[in-house]
Amino acid sequence: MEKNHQSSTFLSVRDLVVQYTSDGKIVQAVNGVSLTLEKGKTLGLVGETGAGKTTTAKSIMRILQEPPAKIVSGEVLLEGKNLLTLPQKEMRKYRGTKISMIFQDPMTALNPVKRVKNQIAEVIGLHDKCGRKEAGERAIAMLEKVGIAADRAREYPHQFSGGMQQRVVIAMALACNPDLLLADEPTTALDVTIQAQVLEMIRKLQKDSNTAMVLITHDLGVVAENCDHVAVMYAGQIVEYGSLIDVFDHPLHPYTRGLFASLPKMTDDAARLSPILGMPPDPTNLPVGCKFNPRCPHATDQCRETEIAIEEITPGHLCRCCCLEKQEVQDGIIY
Amino acid sequence: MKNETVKVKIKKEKHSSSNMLVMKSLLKTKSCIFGIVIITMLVLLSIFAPLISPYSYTKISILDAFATPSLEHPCGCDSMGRDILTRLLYGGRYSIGIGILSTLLGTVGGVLIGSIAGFFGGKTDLVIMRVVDIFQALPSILLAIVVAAVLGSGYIPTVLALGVSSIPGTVRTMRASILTVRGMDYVEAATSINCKSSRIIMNYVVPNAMAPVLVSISNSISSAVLAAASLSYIGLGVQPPYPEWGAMLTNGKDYIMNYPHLTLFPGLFIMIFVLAFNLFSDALRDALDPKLKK
Amino acid sequence: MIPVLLGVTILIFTLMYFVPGDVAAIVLGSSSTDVQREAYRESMGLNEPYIIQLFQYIKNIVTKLDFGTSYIQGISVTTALLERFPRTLIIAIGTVIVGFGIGIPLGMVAAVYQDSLVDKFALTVSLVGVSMPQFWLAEILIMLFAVQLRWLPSQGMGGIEYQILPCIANAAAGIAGNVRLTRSSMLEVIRADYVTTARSKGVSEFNVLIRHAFPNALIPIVTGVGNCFGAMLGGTLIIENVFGIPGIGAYMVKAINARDYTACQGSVIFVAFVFGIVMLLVDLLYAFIDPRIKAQYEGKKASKKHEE
Repeated sequence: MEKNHQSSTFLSVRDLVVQYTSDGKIVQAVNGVSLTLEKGKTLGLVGETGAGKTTTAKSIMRILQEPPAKIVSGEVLLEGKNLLTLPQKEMRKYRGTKISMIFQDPMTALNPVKRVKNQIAEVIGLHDKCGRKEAGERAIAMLEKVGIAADRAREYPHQFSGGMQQRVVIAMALACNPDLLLADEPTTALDVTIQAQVLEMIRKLQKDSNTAMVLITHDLGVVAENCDHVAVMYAGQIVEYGSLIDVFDHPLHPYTRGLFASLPKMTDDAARLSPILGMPPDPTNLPVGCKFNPRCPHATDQCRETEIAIEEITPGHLCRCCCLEKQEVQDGIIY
Repeated sequence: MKNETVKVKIKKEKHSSSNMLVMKSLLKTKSCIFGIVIITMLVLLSIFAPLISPYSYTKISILDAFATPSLEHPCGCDSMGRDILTRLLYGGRYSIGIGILSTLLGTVGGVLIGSIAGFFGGKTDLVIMRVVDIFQALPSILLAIVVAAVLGSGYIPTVLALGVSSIPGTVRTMRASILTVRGMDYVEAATSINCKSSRIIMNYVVPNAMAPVLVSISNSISSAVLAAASLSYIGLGVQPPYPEWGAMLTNGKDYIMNYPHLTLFPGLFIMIFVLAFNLFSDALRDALDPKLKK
Repeated sequence: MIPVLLGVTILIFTLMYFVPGDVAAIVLGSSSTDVQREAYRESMGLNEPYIIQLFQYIKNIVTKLDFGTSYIQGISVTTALLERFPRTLIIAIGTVIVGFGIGIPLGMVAAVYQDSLVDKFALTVSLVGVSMPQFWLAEILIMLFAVQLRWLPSQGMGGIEYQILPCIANAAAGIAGNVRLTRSSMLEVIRADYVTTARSKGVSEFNVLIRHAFPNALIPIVTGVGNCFGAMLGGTLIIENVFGIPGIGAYMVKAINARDYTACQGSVIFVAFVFGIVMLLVDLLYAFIDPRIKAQYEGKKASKKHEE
């Protein structure tokens, strides 16, 4: 059983620590993130802006701007190979083919002076070593796959609407059938009506080529519809990790509970939502102990003094909180 | 405890106005402080030149003609035996004065005309911009040459020539800036809460539109000093025997083969002054445009 | 462009017309009598009203490309300008090549290795470059390379060796300007999302810079080209006087100092023409580089077609 689990682990990130230097201050963006993902599955990475989600994804691809960013420690294992120690030249062979990324804002993710066809053809030509013409044809085929007519292939990004641009980005990311897709808030910049279409399309293409996906978002609804597993990030750490059902039906960490509590519910007739009090911590000056302690209603002296380790509470469901038992007592039974 | 102090700090920072932030950022830049120190020094030196130098800048002494740099004459003497350093110190009054006055003229004119074009738009804007187009169809130094040719040489004509030739550029900058700011959401927001239009102009549009103009003021002083030197080199602008830096350069060019110090030192003074101003305006631009900061 | 050039012509003519000073007195000398002067004015058409003279002047330029006759030399201004123009053009083109050829690559390197020694060197050089009077740099170059080292000639015209010093001296400010412009626009572009996208596709770092970042960085650079070219053209006019090159600049300066107004206004208008043509080319280049602008042009054309 244990062995079986090991072999199906496709991506594994271990103790990733990333820092930025800005104006002489050190921004602790990612503080020891570990996660695993199996082939063909989808992991939802949830958290507020600035929680370190994008930085984690960019570290996996090693496309952080260095400096100011710096991967301090950790491992990114893709099929057992540590990407962080690969020479740049080797790493380039992974980008675009094995791993590719969909960016948050399609308006800025596409090069404004290049025709969309050429932008897609570039990635095909680079990795599949085919001629210009063939790459171009495959690029057009890819565009048609994401629902863009072939006669628009020679246009420039500014001639497309936001949703179309995001389709182009997706076509580009999936052009070489990557094994791992990092989708960084792929729908945030889009209209609500387009969001569903785009997600649907990603899901379909993902299923076709059995691609594993890390879906970064702060939209819990998107997670519920698309993900197999969920990791909740707070201040550069994963505070809760588990299957979709675990996390959504039995949230353990006070932050996760806070997230759900702050959502409007169709069934309740509450006059006010209950937000999480306080502000996300300053990443240049993180609180000692549990990073969530200043906002946590259950915080104890222990939370304010010692680092809290992430622990497996029930099989496959991990949580970074030391007050769980006490809470269980207070709230009644969790499970 | 620690957290509370942090919060207090953040609050304090939020209270300091954007002007204060610009000042702070300026004073943090070493090169900027260096620039300011040099500018201040040169200005003070030229103001207090009579107290500093034991020589007169006009007194001719044939015996000292072409004297090479020595302890008595640190920069040597010119073709008529006048102490070059003394003349350079006095010359600052001319050169820096021309730089500041012509920029003042250009800025006041440019901001005024540019604002009119930007605020009123329509036909006024159209007419103004066509005229600006005409003026800008000439490279700015050529425009200065033409105006100087019409007005003749001398201090005031040079100020006028350089000032006038810098107006079209400032008009364009100011107008573009006003148009950008007018389209901003915060102006719309101000309109939506029923702000008086005079209040919108004074409190929202002008302060935000001034940033590019401030940078252009700073740039224009240094380029005016350079242009003034060019003008006197080709026989316009301030002419010898006035100790304007460019005029001194011009005076020295005939003797450059044998007595290069006549040319070298005035050029160095111009360069140091302009360099200092450029350091300052670079820092100013960075401080005003947060986008360029790292 | 044509209305602008017409405007320039009117502007310059008007300025020169109202310059104090009697042309006849300048030409005939102070010993001439009033009768002689009056006869001269009458023969040159100087007694006509301002409007008539202006109209005549513009008509001659448009129909015959005739900028009038120099009062002092008695030679056609057009002939003199055409004879001198190639010399100025060579220096201007050389300056542009040196200015952009050195400035843009240096600016790119500086941006890519931001805060490195190369970057600091490039910034220092460019700061010093924009802070010097160009003719002073020219004098110093002459002193160094012509007088001391005797590598290059200091004055006059001839083979390519005569163009080197003028071009370098004149390009100094241009190099400096281009370094700064290229560096800042590259820095902005390097951080753009589409550059990250290119990296995420596995494009090599060199191609990321050359194929993805640089074409975008070019857009603001080309905008600066116009100003830069203006400065270079203006600089050429001055620098010719240092190196004794009998081009348009030297002609104009001589004309100004001799109060030869026809020659002066002719050469200014001529330079404006040349400048206008260059700016037009820059605009076309701009549209070529930035598809968003090109789309506007094409859109205009399309809508025009539609109207027809």
